[in-house]
Amino acid sequence: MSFLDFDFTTLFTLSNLMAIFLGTIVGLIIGALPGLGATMAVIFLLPFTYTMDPVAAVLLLLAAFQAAEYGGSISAITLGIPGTPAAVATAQDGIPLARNESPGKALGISLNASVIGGVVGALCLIFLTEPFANFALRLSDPEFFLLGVMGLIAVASISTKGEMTKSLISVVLGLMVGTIGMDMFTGQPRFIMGQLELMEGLGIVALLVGIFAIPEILRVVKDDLHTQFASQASNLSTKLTGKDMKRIAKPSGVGSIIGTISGLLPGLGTVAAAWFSYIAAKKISKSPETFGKGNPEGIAAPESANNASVGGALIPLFALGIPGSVGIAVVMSAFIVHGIQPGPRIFTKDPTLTYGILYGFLLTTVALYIVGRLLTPLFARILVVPNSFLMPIVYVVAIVGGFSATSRYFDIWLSLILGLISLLFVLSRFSIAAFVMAFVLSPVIEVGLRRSLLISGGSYSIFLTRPFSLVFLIIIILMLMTPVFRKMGERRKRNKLENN
Amino acid sequence: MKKITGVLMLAILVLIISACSGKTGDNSKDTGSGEADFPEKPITVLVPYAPGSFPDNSARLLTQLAEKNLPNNQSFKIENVEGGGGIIAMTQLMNAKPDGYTIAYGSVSHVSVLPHMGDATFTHDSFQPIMKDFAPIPLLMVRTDAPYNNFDEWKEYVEANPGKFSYATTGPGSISNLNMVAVAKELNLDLKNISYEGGSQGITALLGKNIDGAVVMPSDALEHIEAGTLKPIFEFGQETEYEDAKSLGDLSLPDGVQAFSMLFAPKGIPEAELEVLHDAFKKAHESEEYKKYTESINAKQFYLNPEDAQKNATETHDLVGGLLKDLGLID
Repeated sequence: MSFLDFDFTTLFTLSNLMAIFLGTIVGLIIGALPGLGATMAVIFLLPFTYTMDPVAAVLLLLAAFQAAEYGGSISAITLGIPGTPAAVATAQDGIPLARNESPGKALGISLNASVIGGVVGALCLIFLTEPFANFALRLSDPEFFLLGVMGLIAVASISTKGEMTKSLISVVLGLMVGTIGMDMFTGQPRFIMGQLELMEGLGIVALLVGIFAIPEILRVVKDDLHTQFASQASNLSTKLTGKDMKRIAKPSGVGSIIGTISGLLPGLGTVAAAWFSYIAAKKISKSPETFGKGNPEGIAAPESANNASVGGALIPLFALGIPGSVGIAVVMSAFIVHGIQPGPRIFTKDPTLTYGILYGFLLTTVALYIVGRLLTPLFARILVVPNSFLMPIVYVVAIVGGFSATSRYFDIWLSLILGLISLLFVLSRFSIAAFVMAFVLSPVIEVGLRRSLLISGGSYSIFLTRPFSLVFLIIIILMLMTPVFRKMGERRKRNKLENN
Repeated sequence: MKKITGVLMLAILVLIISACSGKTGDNSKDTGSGEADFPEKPITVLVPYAPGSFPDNSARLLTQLAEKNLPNNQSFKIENVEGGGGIIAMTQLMNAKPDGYTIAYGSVSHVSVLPHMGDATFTHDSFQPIMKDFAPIPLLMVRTDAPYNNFDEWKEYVEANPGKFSYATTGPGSISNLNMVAVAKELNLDLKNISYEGGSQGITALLGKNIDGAVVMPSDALEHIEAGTLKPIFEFGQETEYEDAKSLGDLSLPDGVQAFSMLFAPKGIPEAELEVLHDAFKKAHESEEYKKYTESINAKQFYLNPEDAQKNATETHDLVGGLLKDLGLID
């Protein structure tokens, strides 16, 4: 059976559609809570899937996954608290646009871009599973290491002028904090200071709550608690004009493609997807100087990327039976509980079910658009609530969110301590975004490098003999050389002027 | 009107949060000792693994089936407590009140590997086993397009190329690693261990031709065996059904380290409570649905009652101790 022979009446059943819409609503709301993301949304829904029929069960989880990736941008844009590392990129332009212009517009852009990304990811999953899966297999540790390094250079390149040194310090600190935990090659704990809770490293959710939510709350308290973020309800409409749509089309397209490819690669996933596409959008933009000040393109690119990465991450699951992230592993467990083994033979063994899930996944983007249009204005309204009411609630929600990810009290203390430290960082204008990016990439870079060298027996030639690795290496060199070339060009121009 | 909607929104937020965190309720409250009423509230099952991981799946399925056999219509609730390779969860279990309301779905590593490594405050007999569940038998997988077709050819290849054959495990001291090291030592083979985060990462690297082999649990390998891309060349059990593979038994080697899972209660749990839990889990373990599941992941069911399970844990603890010493991981 090929994908065109699929009997669509088996998909459009009441239970499947219900599952998709319910999943979307729950995913959107959980995703919107600071500290809780797509992974938490699917974990929360998993127990309900045991009694459902297989297609509806998987679609419920996938719909929640899709919607939570969009929902993550809601708290980033409205509250200034990115709930996921990917939403940190969205926050760069989302916060200024929401505060200076219109929160409704910022959320509208995010929603439309998310839907575009979701559709592209789903189409790639349906039509390009095999070539993409083969491509993913050709990338391994040497390539992951180089991609990680590329990410670091990219982070440094987005730092604002004059703050380069501080950005670099943030990157180094992020890399260092990323080494906390057990060294997986020797089994030895590193920098855990006797705390067994640190054995698997600092929890990413506790870290995000600590370094984003707490300083933001303290900053609001310090400024003026008796105001509200948005005073006029007219700014809350999420409807976009044709001009806006045209403007975000290109960055959304770029974000979707980068997102799908990054989603393929375990470990990199949505974070790298969001940042790489943010940087790419800035490079191709007509007005790169407004990035970081509320440029809609800066919201569209990362938002389309993180939704596209969901489809990308499902490709290795369907083609090879390999889950690339915890969230996808939870989805996979729903397959297994229903006696379906994802892997190379799923298309021939269970075609009706497999294509049902694939087309259903495409439907989740439709549901996301409808539910998003209905619920988003309500979320935008949060900003009308006076800060004296809003902030205590945000505080509690963030702390509970941080706790529920791991069920460890230790993580609450960790968030509070990190919050105070990062407040000092924010006040002295260090880049928190660069720190997070470096923290997330730190294990990718370290493990990639060390495992490459273990496999090659210590020889660095492994980075030169693999085709993709060589290509990445050349890109890195070009990235590093661009500013040098630019400077040389400027000098030549100046010399010419002086000579004339 | 605007204000009302805002307040409503927030109320919904708070409600959802409390629903999400429902699994983290407080279990330390006094429960009374009326044996006949046990259980009179939900029982927390600590799972020392990430949600969606293989042991987490098994734990969720088993508890869901066992729930039907609990008196008073009570239920189990899963709490994933990750950290320290399970040390956090098992320490939590050790310190929990032995009233039957906190139990854990642990594994061989918690009673046999961790106690040797110095960070854990518990050892092989710090808990009361409720039941031994099942154990998958690890396999050494290679690609079907490798230059060797069966175990004997592989052995010749490795002997001719010492230190060249690289294989994935989940790290030094892991069950996959210990089993491979023990066999390599007996056969005097020089192999290269490469650590990966999990079985599926090792399989990915093997499929991508970055390494030559992978020691994984059958659940990670089955799909690829049937697709014909990978094949097992050695099974770490006493017998094997795979054509090109040999088993420990074929080479007359002693038992390896079984990757079993086991249900634990805190030490000192009253007999009656232990019996209620044991019976509920045993029935679930023997149900058709669970048998179908263990078959689908190619694991062997090794039910043992609390007493024998403890004996099994202690024996494995001693076996692993010897292997870790040989490896030089402990003194």
